[in-house]
This record gives sequence, C-alpha cells and structure tokens, in this order.
Amino acid sequence: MPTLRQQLFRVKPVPQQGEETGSDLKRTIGLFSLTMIGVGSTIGTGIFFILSESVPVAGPAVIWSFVIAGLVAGLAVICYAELAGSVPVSGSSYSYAYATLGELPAMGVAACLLLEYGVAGAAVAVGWSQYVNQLLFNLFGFEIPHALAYAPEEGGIVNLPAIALLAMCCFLLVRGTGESVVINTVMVCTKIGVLLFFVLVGVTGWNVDNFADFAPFGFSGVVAGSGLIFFSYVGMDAVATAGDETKNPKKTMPRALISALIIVTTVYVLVAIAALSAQPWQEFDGQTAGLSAILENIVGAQWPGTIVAAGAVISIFSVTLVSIYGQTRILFTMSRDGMMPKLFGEVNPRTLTPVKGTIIVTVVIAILAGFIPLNFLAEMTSIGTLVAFIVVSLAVIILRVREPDLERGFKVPFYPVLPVLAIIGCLWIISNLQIITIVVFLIWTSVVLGLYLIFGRRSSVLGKQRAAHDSIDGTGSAGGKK
Amino acid sequence: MSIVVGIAPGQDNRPAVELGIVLARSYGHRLVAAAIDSAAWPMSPVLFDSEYQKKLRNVAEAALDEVRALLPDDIESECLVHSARSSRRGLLEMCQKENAFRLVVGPAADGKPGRIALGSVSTGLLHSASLPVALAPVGYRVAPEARLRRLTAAYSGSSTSAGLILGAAVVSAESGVPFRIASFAPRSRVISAAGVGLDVESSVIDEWANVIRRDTDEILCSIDRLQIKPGETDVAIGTGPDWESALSAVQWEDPEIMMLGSSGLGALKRVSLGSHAMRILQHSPVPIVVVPRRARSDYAASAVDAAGE
Repeated sequence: MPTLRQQLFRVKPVPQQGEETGSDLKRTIGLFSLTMIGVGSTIGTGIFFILSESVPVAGPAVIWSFVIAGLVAGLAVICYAELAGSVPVSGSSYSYAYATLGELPAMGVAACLLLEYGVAGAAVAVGWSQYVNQLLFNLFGFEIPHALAYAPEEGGIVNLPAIALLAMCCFLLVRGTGESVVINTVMVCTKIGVLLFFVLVGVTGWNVDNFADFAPFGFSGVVAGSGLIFFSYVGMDAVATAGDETKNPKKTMPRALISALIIVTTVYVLVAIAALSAQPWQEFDGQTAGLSAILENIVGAQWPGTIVAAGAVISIFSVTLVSIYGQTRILFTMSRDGMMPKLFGEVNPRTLTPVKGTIIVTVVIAILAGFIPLNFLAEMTSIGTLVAFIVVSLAVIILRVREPDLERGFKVPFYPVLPVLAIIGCLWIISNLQIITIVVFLIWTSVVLGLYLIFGRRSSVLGKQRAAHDSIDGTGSAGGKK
Repeated sequence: MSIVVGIAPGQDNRPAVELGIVLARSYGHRLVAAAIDSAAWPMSPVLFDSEYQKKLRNVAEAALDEVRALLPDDIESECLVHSARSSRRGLLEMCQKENAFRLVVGPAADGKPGRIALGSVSTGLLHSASLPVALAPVGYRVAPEARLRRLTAAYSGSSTSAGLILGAAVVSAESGVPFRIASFAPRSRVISAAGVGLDVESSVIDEWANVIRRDTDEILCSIDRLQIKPGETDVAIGTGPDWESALSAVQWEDPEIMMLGSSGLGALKRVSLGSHAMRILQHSPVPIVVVPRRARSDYAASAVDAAGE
C-alpha cells in the first residue's frame, strides 16, 4: 500500500515521441502558420473590452502594461514550448505537471486551468453582451433592459445576452468540432480586420493632450494594469502546444513565439495608443463597448462604431467557443486519468463530441457570466493563467534536473535564467492583483485539491495501474519518483 | 427476385451494368436492364409527338443494345424499355413489376473517377425508393466472373443503424458473402487557440472508437443469435485527418460493396454539411448500397424474421 506522500506525488510516465497519441501527427506546421496560430488565438481575447477596465488603473501608461504583460507571457510561453516538446501528451499544462511534478500539483494546475478557461469564457461573454447592446442600439435604437443585461452587482438581475452566447457556442460544439474550426477561422480574420479598422479611424482623432498626464498612478498602476491585461495573452500557449506538429521545432518554435508576441503586442499597443489619443483617460472608467464608443465620439457618426461593434460581436463569439472547447477537453483528459467523474470522458458516437461534458461546462460558465461583473472575472482569469505559467516554468527546471537525457524538441535558451525570470514576473503581477482575487483563487484551489483528496486520489487510473502492478510482482514500489 | 439496373440513354452505363452483374451473380438473381422512355408524358394525341416518342424509344433501344453486349452468359438477364412519366417513376415501377431485390444506378456524368456522384435521378430515388439502391462509382469495373468478396455495413452509432446492420448480415448470410461492420470518423483539426494541444482530439476519437467497438460487439452477439448467420464476420474502424483518409484507412476487397444504414440518411434529403452518411457516400472507394428511409422498416424486419424463426 503506497503512503499518502507516494500517492500525492506519483508521476505519470513520460511517453516517448510517437507513443500514445503522437503516432499519427505529422510535422506539417511551418514558421508562418505557427505565427498565425499564435496571433489568431491571442488577439481579441481581451482587447475589445479590457481597455475600459485597465485604463482607469494605469492611465495612458497602460501602453507599458501591455508591453510588460507581453514580456512575462513570452517568458512563460518559452518554458511552455520546452515542455510541449519533451512531454508529448495532450491536455495542456495539467498533463505536463502530471508527467513532471506529480498528481497533487497536477490537480493544482488543473484548478488553475479550469478557472482560466471557465472564467475566460464567462468574462468574454460578458464583454460580448456590451457590444451586442451597442449594436442593437445603433441598428434598431433598442437596448436590452439594464436588468437583463447586467450582473446583480452592476444593478441588473442577470446578464441574458451572455447566457445566450454561451448556449449558441454549446450548440456548435455539441454538433461537432469540424464546423467549429471553420467558423473559428472566419471569426479570427474578422477580429483582426476590425482592430486594424479601429486603429485607422482612431488616429484621425489624435489629440496629444490626452497623453499629458501619462502615468497618474505611477509604476504600481502600470503593474496592476498588466495583471488585468495578462489574460489578453492567454492564447499564446497555443503555439507551444503545437510542438509535436511543427517542422524543425528547435528553430521554428522560438521564432514563431517571438514573432507572434511582437505582432500581438504591436496590435495591442497600436489599439491602445489610438484609443488613448482620441479620448482622455478619465473617460474610460465605466465605459461599455469601449472601442465602438470611442469611434463614435471621434467621427460624430454611428457607422464606424457599428462596424466595430458588429466585428466584436462576431469575433468575441470565437473566443467563447474556444474557451468552452478547451475546458471540455481538459476535463476529458482528467476524466481519462480518473481525476474527474467518468461522464466528462464520454463521447457521443453520433457527433463524436463529449456532449454531456460540454453541456455541464456551459451551464457552469453561464452561471458565472450571468451573475458576476466583468472586471472581477478578468482578474480571476489572469491569476489562473499566471499560476499555471509558474508551474510550467518550475516543471522545466525540475525535468532538466530529473531527466537530463530526455529528448527535447526545443530547449529554453539561457537556462535557468529565463524560467526563473518567468516565475518572478508572474509572482510580481500576482502580488499586484486585488486581495479578494487572490483569496477567491486560494479557496477555489483548496476546493479542487479537497475533491482530489476525497475522489481523485482513490479513482486515479495511474494509482490503480500501480496497485495492480504491485500485486502481481509484489515489489511494493508504488511511489513515483520524487 | 431480380436486380434492376437503370439504363440512361446517352450516358456511360457500364459502371451500373458491371455492378448489377456482380450483384446478380453473387445473390443468384436475374438481372433486368431497364431503359426508361420518359417522353411518354404528357400523353399527346397530336401525331408529331408520337414521331418524337419513336425517336426517343430508338435511343433507349440503342442504349440497351450496348448493354446487351456487356451481359455475360452465366447470369439470366433481360433488357426492357419501359414508358413512364419520369425516369425515377419508371425505374420504381419496373422494380415493383420485376419484384426487385436491388435497384442499381450509375454515377452522374460529372463525377470524379472512382467516386460516387449523385445525379438528379439517383437523388430522387433515395427519397422515394422502398428498396435498397446500389450506387456505382464513376468508371466502376469488375473482373469477368467476379463475385462479391465481402459486404461491409457502415455503422454510425445509432440504434436504427444497428437494425439495418442486422438486415445486411442476413443478406450476406443468405448469399454466402463474408460480412463486416465498419465505422469511420475524421480526426478533425483542433481549434488551436484553445491551448489544449493539437493532438487532444485524437483521444476524443480514441474514446469514440471504444464506444463503437463496444456497440459492434453487441451487434455481433445479436448476429450470432440469428437463425441464418454469416460465416465470417469482422469489425473495422477507420480514422484519418479527413473523411477520405478515414475511408481509405480500412482495407477493401475487390469487388466489395458497402451498405449505408445511417440514421443520418434523413439528411440526404437536404444535402447538409455534417451528415456522416453523405460524407461516407462521397468518399467511398467501393459501390454503396443505400437503404432509403422508406425501405428501412422492411429491411430491418428481415432480420427480425431471421432471428424469430
């Protein structure tokens, strides 16, 4: 019988390249495609509405917040790339943690990921509802009543458009992934086009006076802004997870990551500059459907704002879709490992999708989106991502020490400086988040770890395999490497 | 019973005739090649109309002459011209008159070589036929004296589909053709932005394959309980990055046919994206026998009879 310590830190064996799921993957993705994966999956996650949340915290210096968040995300993502290349399993950083740190830390990471994807889905759906309202008003002179378009804390009863959006995404994902991918590609193109349109029209309203009071809250304001903005860079890890399918990953991965990061940060900074040049920073506070409203003020007509609102409505849809998708696939992987109830791992034979898991995930996210305000959700997403990134950076160091000879598709340059810097950067941003965010995060993580101690520890597939193995050869070496 | 082959004047009828021959030989039925003279409507008393009809009838006769040259001596066969208001209606009338077991039609003229292409007549038949319709791919040929070497039934994971598979098993048992159940799924590209790894969909598909294996095991048990059961049964699961590779991921005999008994057949009415039956039909490397909605109950009943005796 393994001890509790052995149970908590049992490590899933690292499969060799090509083993398990890697066998039918071909190295087909080149530098350009990989860069586009990164750009497409990152832009739009937050930029459409995060400005109105972060400018009041940082002032015009929010431009630096974008750069800092981008740098920290970049450092973490480079660590991500090494793990993705050396641990060829699906399931994001949860699987990496399981293969390197052990079962309990993996559950901790899972808690972060569930929070990240779940809350990101909810946060984005809430932002969507603002743009829907703007669009409805511009097109038909009609707005959804305040009570039905805002969370209780913001004076409403329930955020109905957000719930409707989640229901539509759920429907698409249940029908099948194939169509969702096509729709996703269309939406990614739309959102990039709309942002460029915003920048082009936005600079026509340039007023240098708006930058006069550049950093009203000093450096701490800039860092706090980075915390809010961090989740605008979440999509970057998509580049890292393509490690198995990338041609010449050692060169391509870092180049694609850096190119994507530069493109994304440039677009963000351009949008932020265009927005700040056109409107005094004090006016961002409490502004809904920010980008649309700014354009309407500049041009004095509704049509540019309507275009941006329509683009936002279409493209934010894709982000919600991806969030729910990611959430269901992580739960699927966990369920296969025995860490979650079996129903999350059931696949409907007709649609080839985990229907039950998708519906449960959507209902939970819909409750969050319907009743919790936006800025709190944005911070919760960031902390989940930040902690997951810390664990990944830590895992790189641990795996280098424990398995130095493991074949790695890509190695972090300047080891161990970069992983350590990534950890410090993430911790620094976390320390600037609201105390309530950190407390809620800790409570959530304890709940998930508690569930693990009660349920997952006993139903762990790996644990059962080890027990069966031990009962056959009687060696009693159940524990993983520590 | 007979195998009715629909002959379209002025088109390449050889794929349909070759498929009809191999089916007639394997199942031991008579082959009826039927050319439909659809100009019989509207019935006009005016004389010049009858001239026109005569010309069309000659064209139909000429098409049948070409078919006669293809028919081998080892099967009983007959060539007929039938007048009807439309080609579709005429073929269905012929099937009824000849007590047809299968109706065979050829591909549309603009199809890709080796692939099945639905034309307006075959699409109409799939909506209204009350017997299974066999569709030949473009350029389909078989070796002289060839018999079916296997009958594959496509399983989509629904209960209706399971009933149809039992029906197909009975048919293959009665004709002594080895039987196989096959399921297909593409491993579609993951939404890369979800950040869960591009290979995550593989494990979802693996789980799907497990579900299908469990279901097909149950169907195989039901087949074992049939009074008349096929001598040889097999299960195949084909996956690939798209439908084409999923279908070519399993081995095919020559000649072999695939029965399509998906409950998604309803979707054939309006050809929509996402219909598994439609995708299988478009990418199948072998001829397909579709059991239309109207034929479904009769067809499944044959399995119940076989089990109940």
